Amino acid sequence: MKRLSCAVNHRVVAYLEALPLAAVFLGFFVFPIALVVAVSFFRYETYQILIPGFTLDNFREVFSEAVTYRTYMITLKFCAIVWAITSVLGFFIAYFLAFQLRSRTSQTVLLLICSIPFWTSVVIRMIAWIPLLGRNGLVNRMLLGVGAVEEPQEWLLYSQFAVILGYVHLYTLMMIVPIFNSMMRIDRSLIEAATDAGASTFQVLQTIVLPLSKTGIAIGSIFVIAMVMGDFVTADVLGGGQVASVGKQIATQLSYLQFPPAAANAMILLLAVIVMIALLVRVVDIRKEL
Amino acid sequence: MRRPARPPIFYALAVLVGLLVVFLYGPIATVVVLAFQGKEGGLVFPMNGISLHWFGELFRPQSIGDIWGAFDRSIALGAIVMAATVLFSFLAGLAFRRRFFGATLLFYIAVASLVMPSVVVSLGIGSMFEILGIERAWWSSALGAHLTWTLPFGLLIMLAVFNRFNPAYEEAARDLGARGWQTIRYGYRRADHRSEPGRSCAVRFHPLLRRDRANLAIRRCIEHAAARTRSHADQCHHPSHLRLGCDDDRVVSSRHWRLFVGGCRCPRTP
Repeated sequence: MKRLSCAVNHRVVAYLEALPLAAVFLGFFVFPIALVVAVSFFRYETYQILIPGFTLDNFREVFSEAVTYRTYMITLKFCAIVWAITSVLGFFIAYFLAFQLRSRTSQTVLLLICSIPFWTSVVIRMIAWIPLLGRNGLVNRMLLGVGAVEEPQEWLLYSQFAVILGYVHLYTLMMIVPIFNSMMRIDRSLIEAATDAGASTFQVLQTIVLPLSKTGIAIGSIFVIAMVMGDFVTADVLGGGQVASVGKQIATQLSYLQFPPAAANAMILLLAVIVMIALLVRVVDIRKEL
Repeated sequence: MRRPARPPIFYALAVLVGLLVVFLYGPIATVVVLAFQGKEGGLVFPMNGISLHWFGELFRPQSIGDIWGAFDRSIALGAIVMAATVLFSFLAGLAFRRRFFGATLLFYIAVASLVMPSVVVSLGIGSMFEILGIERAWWSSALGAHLTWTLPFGLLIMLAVFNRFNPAYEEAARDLGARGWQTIRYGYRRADHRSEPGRSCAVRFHPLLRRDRANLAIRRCIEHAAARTRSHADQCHHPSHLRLGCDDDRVVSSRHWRLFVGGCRCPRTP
C-alpha cells in the first residue's frame, strides 16, 4: 500500500515538474498555432481585423496571385543555396575542430570564437553589412582600387546575393555545432584502425566521418531550413524591399493588419517546412541524439 | 617525442577557418569603427573625422526616442526569460526522467516550437491577444514569444545533461537517506559517471552522512551497483553482460562496476 502511494506520488511530482513548461507551450505555442489555422478561414474587413467565419477566400487569394509563386520559388531557392553552402562549410569546419585540432583548449577557444558573433543581435549583424557592400562601401572601393571593375557594383547590396550572404553569416554556426557534436562522439579507434589499414585522409572522411556525422548534418539542416524559410528580418534589411521572401510577405500583410490572408500564407509556409523536416527526421532520431 | 606531421588538409582547413572568422567578425568590426564617425559622416566609409558625436546624440533625450527605457525593458525581459528558461527547463528535465503520460507529445511540441518559423508563432500570439482583447506588451506577448524559442533549447540541453547522468547517483543518495531536494542538491553536482566507481560515489554524498555511517554507506552503494548490474544482466543477453552476469551472488567490487558502466555497449543499458 505504501509502495503504491509512493508511485502515485512520483507521478504527480513528474506532472508538477513538467507543468510550467507545458503551460507556456500550451498558451504561447499550441493555442496560437491552432488559432492561426482557424484565422486562416476567417473573413476580414478594413476596420475589423478578425471576423469569425469560414471561408476559403484567403487561400484562394493566396493561390491566385502570381506573386505568391514567385516568393515561394525565391524562398526555396534561398533555402537550397544557403543549405548547400552552410552544410559544406559547417562540415569541414566541424571536422577541423573535432579531428584536426589536438588539444581540448584550442577546440574550446575556436568554437567560442565562432559562437561569439551568435550572441549579437541579428539586426546589428545584418546592418553591419551595409557599409561593406553599399555603392560606396569597402568592397566596391577595394574592387575599384584593384581595377577589377570599372564602376561601383550595384548588385552587392539590396539584392538576392546580399540576402544569401546574410543567411550564411547568420546560420553557419547552427550547422557547425550539431555536426561538431556528433563528430565528437565518433570512436577515435575507428579512425586509427582505418589509417592503420592504409586509408587516406580523404577515405577516412568519406567512409567514417561523413556517415557517422549524418545525424548532426540532419539536425543542423533542420535549423537552417526552418530559419531561412521563416526569416523576414534579413530579407528586409539586406534585400532592401527588392527581395520578397515568404516571411517578409507575411510580415507585410501583418503590418497592414490583414491577419486572415497572413494566416493562410503562414499555413502554406508551415506545410512546406513540415514536409522538409519530415523528410529529414526520417534520417535521424532526434531523441536518441541527445 | 616528435608529434606526427600535420596532413596537408590541416593547412587548407586552417585557412578556411581563418576566412570564416574574418567573415564573421569583419562586418561587426566596421560597425564598431563607424560608431566613431565624425559629425558629418553617416553609416558609410570614408570616416569624416573621429568623434564621439553619435554617442552624445544617442544619449541626448528626444533624439531617437527613449534609449534608457529601451535598455531597461531589454534587460528586464532578458532577465525574466533567462530565469524562466533555466527554472522551467530544469524542472521539465527532471520530469522527463520519469515516465509520464504525454512526455513524448511534450517533447515533440518542444521540437516543433524550435523549428516553427518565428513569423508564424508571432502571428498566432498576435491573433490570440487580438481576439482576447488584451493589449500586447513586452512583458506579456513578447515574453511568451521569446519563451517559445528559448525553452526548447533549455529542455534539449537539460535532456542531454540528464541522459549522461547516472540514475545510480540519485538512487544512492536516496538510499543514504537524502530526500527530494537533497538529492538534487548533492547528487546532481557530479554528472560524469565514468570517472567515479561505486566507492567514491558514496563518499561524494558525505555531507549527508554521519561519520560512523560512512562505511555502511560505502557498502550499500557498492551493493547497489551490484544489484543494478545483476538486474540488468538478467534481462540482457548481450555477450558482454553474460560475462558480468556470472558474478551473480557475489557483491561486485567497485572495479567491476566501473567495467560494467564503461563497458556496456548493448542497446538496453539502463
